[in-house]
Amino acid sequence: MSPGTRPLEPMEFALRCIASQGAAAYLIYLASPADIASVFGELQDELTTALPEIQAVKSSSARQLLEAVAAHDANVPLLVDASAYDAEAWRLLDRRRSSLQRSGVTAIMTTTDSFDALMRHAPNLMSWFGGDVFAFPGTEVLERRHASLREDRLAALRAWSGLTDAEVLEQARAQTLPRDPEYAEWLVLLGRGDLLNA
Amino acid sequence: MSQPAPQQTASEDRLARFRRLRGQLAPARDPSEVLVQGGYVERPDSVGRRIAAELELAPASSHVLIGGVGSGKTTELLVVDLILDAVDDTEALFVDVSRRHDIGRMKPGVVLAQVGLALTEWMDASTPGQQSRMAKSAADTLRALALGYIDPPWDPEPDYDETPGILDPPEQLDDAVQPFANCIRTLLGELSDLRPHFVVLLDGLDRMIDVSKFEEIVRQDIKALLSLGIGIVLVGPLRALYGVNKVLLEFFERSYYQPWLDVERDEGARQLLRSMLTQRVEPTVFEEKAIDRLVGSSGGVARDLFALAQSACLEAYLQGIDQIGVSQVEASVDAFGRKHMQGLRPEEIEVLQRVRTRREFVHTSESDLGLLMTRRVLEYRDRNQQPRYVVHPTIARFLKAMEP
Repeated sequence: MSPGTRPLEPMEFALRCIASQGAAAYLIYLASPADIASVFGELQDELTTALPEIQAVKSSSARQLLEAVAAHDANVPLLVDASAYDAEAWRLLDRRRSSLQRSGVTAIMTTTDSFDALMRHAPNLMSWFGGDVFAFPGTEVLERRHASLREDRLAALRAWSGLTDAEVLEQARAQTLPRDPEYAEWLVLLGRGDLLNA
Repeated sequence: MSQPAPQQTASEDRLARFRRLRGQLAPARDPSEVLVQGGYVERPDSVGRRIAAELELAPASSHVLIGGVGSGKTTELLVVDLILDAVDDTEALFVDVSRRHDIGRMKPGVVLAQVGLALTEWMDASTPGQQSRMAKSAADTLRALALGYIDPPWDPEPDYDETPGILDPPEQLDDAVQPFANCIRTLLGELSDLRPHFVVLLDGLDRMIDVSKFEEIVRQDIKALLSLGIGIVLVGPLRALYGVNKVLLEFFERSYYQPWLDVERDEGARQLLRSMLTQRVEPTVFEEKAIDRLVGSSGGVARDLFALAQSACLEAYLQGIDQIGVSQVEASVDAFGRKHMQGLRPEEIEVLQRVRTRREFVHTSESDLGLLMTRRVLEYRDRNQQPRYVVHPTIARFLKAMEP
């Protein structure tokens, strides 16, 4: 299982953002979907005290973020809620990375799933982040619990079919996978729901 | 080209100092700013210098530069720009294609349009109010075609139908592309006394995912620019290096690969990365062993070197330490590696384990190429251009811990 990102209390994350203002730094903070709104609010409060010029950007789309970045001076600190960004949104931001170049600190809040999509689909953008990626405490534990349940279900599917994950993926790509709903579930659990429409 | 790093002043307080250091080390820093303000360290085999030398001798030649994310391609392009600045009869125009157009929607004509706009802007700045009527008309037409119009600046359609001839020229450009080429030809004619040669430095196309669209751009826009006598240096997508896509490189007279630096086997590479770091900040910022650890952990990716250093800088600030040591670097390396492990699928972990333990990597799928693009797998080249593959150093220990 993946090692997971380092847990950090919101106040500690805020301290890192404050120390990074004016340094063209990008910091990521992960939280579960249920916690995003409250944690975002908490971060906003912490950051506004030390960086009163900070702008909070609750964008539901990558294009909105690009517009928000263009609308503010490059040195203004930004706190961005990117929890709604999917693979396509991150691909767009990766292509438009030059437009995201700023001198102020940019703190981005998102979910683990969304961040996984960033890592897969935005290789240019992710190269800017370094190791400044942290998680609200408990996020990783929750994700691990989900991962454990996911793994149990995958084990059950393997036992039921006698196939391996690799064999199922190969059949999906070749469009020879049987139509049983269990196989559709299998692909989704492997994060390859895209192959359902192949 | 190299200048010493900015030094701390007596009055600088601690927070200001660390913010300054973080800024100087930022991996997202604009490469042109790095060049101008000091911080650029030239590689012994500088691709930028080689390309510039070729263009000085043959200004209408074509070059493609390919390399991994964070390998310094844009910086080398800017080096070409800087060198050609000193050549009287040649003007280099730097165009980041991604700034004015979504490269996810590339089509023939987009590159020509942007080159045309860059040319009109240069003409306006260099010969204000002195252009001929024909040049002004060409510039207005080009702007209208590129940016849109309400009333077209060209003459209305003739009131007769044109009938094409029987011959179909092999060099015919797309209907979308030809008008831009015509406008650019007019502008070049206007400017030929002032600048006999133009070279276009095209950045941003390396982020294109669809290689077939990249091929269209090469066959139409790049071909058109070359037929107009304009030199080209283009940063191309990494996937153009592999498999059937390699044939695209044959459009260009020269192709260059900007590799990551082999910090495992090449002491010169390690020294180069050390220099890059100490050129950005004063040498006393890091302990010697911390610099060694940063260089090794970067895997030879310059951008990752700065990302790790920037994070280590923050760790030191938060711990109340003034000189960054191994402990702060280790914390940074750990965080980087954790981040780098995110989003990996089980089959990708299997591939990475094979690379780590057996140095085997055969990229046959998009997923495999993705591991190269996202720098989980690093490719080094020896003097004979033979590739060698390793996993990024920051994820090696996590992979080892996951070994079945």
